[in-house]
Amino acid sequence: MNPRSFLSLAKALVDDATNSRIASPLHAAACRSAISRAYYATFQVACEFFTSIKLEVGRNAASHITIQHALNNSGDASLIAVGMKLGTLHRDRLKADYEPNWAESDKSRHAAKLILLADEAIAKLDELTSGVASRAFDGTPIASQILNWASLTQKNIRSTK
Amino acid sequence: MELQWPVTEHAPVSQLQLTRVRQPEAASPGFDVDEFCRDKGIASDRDYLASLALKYFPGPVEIEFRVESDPESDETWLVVEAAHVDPTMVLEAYNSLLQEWIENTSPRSREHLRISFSVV
Repeated sequence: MNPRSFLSLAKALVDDATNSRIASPLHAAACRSAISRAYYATFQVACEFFTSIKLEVGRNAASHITIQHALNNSGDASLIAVGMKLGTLHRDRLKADYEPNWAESDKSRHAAKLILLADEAIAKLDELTSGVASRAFDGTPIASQILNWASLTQKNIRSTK
Repeated sequence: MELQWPVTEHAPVSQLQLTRVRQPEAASPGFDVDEFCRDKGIASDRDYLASLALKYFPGPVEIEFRVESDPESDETWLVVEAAHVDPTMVLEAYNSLLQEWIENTSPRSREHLRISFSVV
């Protein structure tokens, strides 16, 4: 499955909630699900990006944080920004999934902004991997920098070359 | 753009801005925000991130600090949460904030800090 479908589903949920196509009692559940799907779309596309630069991140509960930190230690400003966005989305996804009293869940406007954030992050990763970036993108030094960081901090990332 | 470190020193959040930062004890029960920041060495960067949130996010913004944990792993971080953000131009503001934040902070510091916002 294309992980971008999660983002399409998130948009549909928020659109339906905003336009009263979802019953009011289900509004918060729709917005929470949209936030969660928007995060997972971005996370999965980030995983694809790592695959494209010949890196594999071990799949466990910590991999969500590992990917954010790996992007943060990539040495590339645009990837660091994607990592920060992933952090913002991940934090709100945890709120949406684990905290029933989280007030923002009732606001489709909040979910809509997070969806746009996810859209931007995915577009940036797609731009880099598709080769149509406004600047030349070479994944080799980035992969090398991430591997160096992973080695120093004993993170579960390995080269697939 | 490839980044170079070490990073530059940045000014602390101003006294005026601090009036819009809520008491951390109220926002983060069970966690000592100051102790977390001391332990990680991020007190200065926490205040810097708060000052950037007040600088860039539109609206009657208030800042809260929260120490939060991931229930699925053992990771803990500090959230600088900007509340009451005007939804107009919020993403442009977020991106401007990120750019300045990334240019002036180290990867290690960024690992312990997250920015979050909630719209009016």
